[in-house]
Amino acid sequence: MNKPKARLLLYEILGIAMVCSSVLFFWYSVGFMTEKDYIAAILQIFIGFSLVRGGLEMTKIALVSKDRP
Amino acid sequence: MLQLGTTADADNTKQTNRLAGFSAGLLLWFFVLVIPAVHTGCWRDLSNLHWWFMCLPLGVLGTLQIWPNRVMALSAMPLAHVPILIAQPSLTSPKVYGPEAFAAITAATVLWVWACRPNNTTEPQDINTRTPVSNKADRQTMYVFYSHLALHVGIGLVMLGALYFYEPYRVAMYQSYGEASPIVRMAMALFLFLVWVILIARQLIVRLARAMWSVNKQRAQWIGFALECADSRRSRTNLKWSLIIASLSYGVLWILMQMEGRL
Repeated sequence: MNKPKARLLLYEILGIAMVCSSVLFFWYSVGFMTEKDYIAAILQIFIGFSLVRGGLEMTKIALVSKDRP
Repeated sequence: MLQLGTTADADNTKQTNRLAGFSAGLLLWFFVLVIPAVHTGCWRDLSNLHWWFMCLPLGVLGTLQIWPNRVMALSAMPLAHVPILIAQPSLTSPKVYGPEAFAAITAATVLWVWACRPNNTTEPQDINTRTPVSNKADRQTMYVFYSHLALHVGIGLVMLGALYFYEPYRVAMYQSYGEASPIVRMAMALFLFLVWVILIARQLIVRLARAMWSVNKQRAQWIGFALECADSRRSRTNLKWSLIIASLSYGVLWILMQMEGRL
């Protein structure tokens, strides 16, 4: 596999992994909420949201790399 | 270009398949309101106002038969269920929502969204050649639509599912709040739903509504998305800031947990 294709694959895998792992943080945020730890829950939600955004941007970069000659 | 296969609007964008939409809407109404009302027996105690609220989704379905509009279907139908669910809390009680009921209602909701999907119309044809118009661009848009929908609905379901059905969290909730835990759980569900709408689903809803409004805007949205993707510097900047926010949040959380001795 040549280098650009490997990089594209890496970006896509990282993007998908970030989006999937965000679900875990949303799950834990609920756990913190049930323990009356609201600050921790909100921070977890922020982490989850940032990971969703980051994952989407990563896949966008993969798209750009794909189209670039 | 004029296309055949449409009835009221020439651009074949706003209408949906009436029979599929009506059947799926009716099924959703049965699963969300009628079956829980019969199961809990609360239908015997409903006042006149409650019956009006109960029939509100049917009124919306009837209106959609006269004025078929996808934006209306996707926004007004869920909202029409809300008044009776607020007025009659027993319809959303844990007695109703076991895992099977949750799965059935989720399936009914997915079926209803599928029935209201943007390309659920009679196939458009080229009026000159009478051949079906290629809808490759529409299919690509639909893949984006479905993947977005799966992601956002998945996140919402994970949060609400953890709150309502994960036993350790239910126990922790009861230990923290005691007898008030059902009310607190409902408040938390509302909070999580609002966070989900504001932070995550807002963009999806806006994009969906714009995409459904007209075919030209739908294509313009797609072109806009492609242009946005092509701007790699912007993507890299957004990625950098997302990672910085995530790292900062995680760092603050770690420090707080350390201070409380929970790590």
